Amino acid sequence: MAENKVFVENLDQSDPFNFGIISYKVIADNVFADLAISGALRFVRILIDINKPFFYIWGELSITETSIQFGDVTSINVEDRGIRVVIEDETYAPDILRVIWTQFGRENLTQIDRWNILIPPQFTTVEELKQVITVNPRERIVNKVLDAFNRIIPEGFRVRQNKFENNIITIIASENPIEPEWLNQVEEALKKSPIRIPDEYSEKLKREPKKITKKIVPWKTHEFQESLE
Amino acid sequence: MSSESFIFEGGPHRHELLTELIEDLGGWIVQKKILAQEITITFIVPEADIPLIREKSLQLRGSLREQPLLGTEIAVIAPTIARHHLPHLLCDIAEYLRRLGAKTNMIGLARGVGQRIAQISTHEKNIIEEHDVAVFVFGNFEYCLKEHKWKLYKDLAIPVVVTAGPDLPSIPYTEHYIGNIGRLPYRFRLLDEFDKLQQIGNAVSQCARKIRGFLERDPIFLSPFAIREEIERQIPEIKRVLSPTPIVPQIRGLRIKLPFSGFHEKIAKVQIGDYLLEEIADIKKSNFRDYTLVKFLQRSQIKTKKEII
Repeated sequence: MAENKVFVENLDQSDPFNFGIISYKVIADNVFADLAISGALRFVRILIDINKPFFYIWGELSITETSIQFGDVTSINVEDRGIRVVIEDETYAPDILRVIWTQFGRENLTQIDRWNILIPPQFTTVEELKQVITVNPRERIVNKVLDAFNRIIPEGFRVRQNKFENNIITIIASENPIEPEWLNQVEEALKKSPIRIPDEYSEKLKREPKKITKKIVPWKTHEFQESLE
Repeated sequence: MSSESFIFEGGPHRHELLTELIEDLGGWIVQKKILAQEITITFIVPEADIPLIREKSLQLRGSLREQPLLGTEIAVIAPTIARHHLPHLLCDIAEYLRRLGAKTNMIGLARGVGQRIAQISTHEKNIIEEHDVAVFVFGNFEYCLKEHKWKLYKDLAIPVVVTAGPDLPSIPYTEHYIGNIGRLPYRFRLLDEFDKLQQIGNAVSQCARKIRGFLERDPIFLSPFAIREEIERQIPEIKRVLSPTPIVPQIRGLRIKLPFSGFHEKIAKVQIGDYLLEEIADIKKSNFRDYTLVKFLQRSQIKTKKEII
């Protein structure tokens, strides 16, 4: 699925589809498949200029801002001793606990068991508590996407500039200080439509069992036995 | 005379015929293992007598595989040990070389990545030069490989095999170059991928054969396997070493996994025929932990050393 979303382009036009470019397409496809985030990305462009050198990734997320509030995953009742919070969806338990620990202080809360927590009445009201944002799944996805980008970028390129706005994540990485003219070059390249790697080049690294004409020798035979036959 | 190494796999019935033949031909049995109805014999025989061995193993209905790298220690080197370079490719190459009989060590450099920033320290160079052959595994870009990566292996005193992505006939300062293997995110499972591994194996065994060819003119005193056996007999503490191979044979040396500080005097006094080990070899502290490294002298060097003493 990710194959049609990821485009790797060479900014040095002398040899646009060399082995490095084709293999980085393979690497990117594999990394997105491994981390299972190809659904979260709408479009990825990787621009490489290895002579400068720099490596630029531009990724557009396909998910919008949705946050899970306290009321969605817990049930809240008022008791004599305080407000009782019952965790109903346990997958969010760590996030719920982190939020209320930071907000009210861990020592003020009474944790009755795994699911039941008692908050003293003077801290908050039920309505306020229901509005608190427990977790934002988009943030998790963004972290995963950043992890994927870090896996793709060559390890030696440690000078980086990240940008994240309007659903678009960009990283430029190099081993030298990043120059403004590179960014201009990248911007111009991004205005053009992406170039797909032609099939005759990408077939070089296609993993399909090829038909082999030579005779396959089993593990426990020696070569001179063949000559006897 | 040069010799070849083989592994025999078959039934144990009448295998003594083979072992006796090997001994008669002046060969050397490195290892013999009998497991239920299976026997595995690893041995070395002179090159001229290979047809005799093949005939005998046909009679015994066993199989014979070549082990071109038996008795070598090979370094497989990646720019760093981050997940960009490990584990797929490096493990595949190291494992394939092990199947050809070699002892391989996987080494990750501290700062081998990048173009301008790629560097290798003297300590790393010393560690790599303790091996017989070094295999460097690099990335995908031709520009990096040609312009920058040579500084990692230019000064090494041992033969270097380089594997990387671009399909080039050769690159400077190396014995062999094998292309079309770069930084790839999967294990090798297909047959044509195994062919690439076999190419690396062939290149490394050519390097090993070249070193052995040089040694033929002025050979070392005795086969490293023979000296290994003698050390095992005379230093009983070696049995308490927990490593799978307490003494690693190399083409012209041995790595003994006993601490240099405690044992170098004892190792120096091992009796080999009329000589002591210190007379026919240099005994050094290895750069690996506290191991002991024995480098054998050639015949001409032994003479001069004895005269000086």
